[in-house]
Amino acid sequence: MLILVFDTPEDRDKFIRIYETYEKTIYYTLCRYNLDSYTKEDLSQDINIILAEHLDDIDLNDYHKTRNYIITITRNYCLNYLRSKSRHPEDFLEDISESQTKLEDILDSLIIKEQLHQLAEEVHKLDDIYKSVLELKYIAGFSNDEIASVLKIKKKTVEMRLYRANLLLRKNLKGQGDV
Amino acid sequence: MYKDLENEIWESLLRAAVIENSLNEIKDYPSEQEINRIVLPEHYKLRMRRMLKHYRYRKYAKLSLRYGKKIASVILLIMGFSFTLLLSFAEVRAACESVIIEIYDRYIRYSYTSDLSLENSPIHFGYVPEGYSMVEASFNGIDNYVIYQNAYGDTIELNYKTKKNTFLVDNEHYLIHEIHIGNDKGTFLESLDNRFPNILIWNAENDYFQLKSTLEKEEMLKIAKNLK
Repeated sequence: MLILVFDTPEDRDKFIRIYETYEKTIYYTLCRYNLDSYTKEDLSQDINIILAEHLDDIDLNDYHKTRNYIITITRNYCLNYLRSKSRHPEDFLEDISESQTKLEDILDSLIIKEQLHQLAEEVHKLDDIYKSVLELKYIAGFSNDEIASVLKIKKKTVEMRLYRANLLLRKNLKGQGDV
Repeated sequence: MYKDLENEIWESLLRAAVIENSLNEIKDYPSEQEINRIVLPEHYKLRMRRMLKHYRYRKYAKLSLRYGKKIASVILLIMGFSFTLLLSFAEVRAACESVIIEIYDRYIRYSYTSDLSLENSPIHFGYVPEGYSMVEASFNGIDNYVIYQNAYGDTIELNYKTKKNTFLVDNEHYLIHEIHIGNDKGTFLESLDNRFPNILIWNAENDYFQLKSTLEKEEMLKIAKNLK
């Protein structure tokens, strides 16, 4: 049985407050996936343990940021669980050539056009395995080691997914720029 | 330098894009009030409450782990020293040796012990397969044997004893079958290697018998059943 571990009683109190505030948000997020009640309980427990381990990253004063943080972790944990259950091998990506993804041109295009939302759309189109590592890195602020631990994959795989996500985004943006 | 700056800008844009995308994805979430109206299942609540009850503080968890390791190490050391000390006594060494030998023997040998201690009268073959004649015999009333041989050098060797006996054979060369000779229980050791004969062992009244031959099982049983 996994057990919650805290550094201090204050940390425990903080966790209880987080739990009381967001337990239904976690439950609602879990309900969006096709999970049986026991799996929901297991995943919820795992997610709470992850939250207890990252209390320092959680700002209780910023409801929306914390809500987004918790939903991101919950969603990605669920997706990763469902993916591991379906045992789908990681899709092989065709080589993405470096020349197609020159950062300089892409940045110009982005800044000039001020089309940040384009990049967000491209992020949205990414496969879940890439979106997960990006969200855990940029929203949850996890290190590669922590992402590997949450998604139960190797650190090398996390690095490879981040690298490929970057290349894919650059390639897709470059393609749009040409149009 | 410029490259680093570019990378930093890209990183910032990507972070902003990921956050924007994530916010877009939760746009369809119900409001806080609506989510708070959700009723959690009882079993779910119970499980979460149980989880909240069972927590540890890191320093105590670390302390428990550290002391646990120390206690285990001390126990192992004490056990090691005690065993070394005990081994200095000849009786303990002998006991250990016999245990090791017993375990070793159990896996490499088949053991058959007769429970006889009385003397008995000589035995005669009532049936001998065709072509065999007696070539050697010894009878001293306690430990007796008779050997029959045919023209090809095949032998039938009967040993019978009127005293308690233990028979050992490497079981890697034999398949072991339980058999009956009349009302007496016995064992047939079927050889798996041409270099070794089949062996039939049994007790009858006050005798222990051991019949060795390259003959088939049925033929050996027939000889055994016809001993007088």
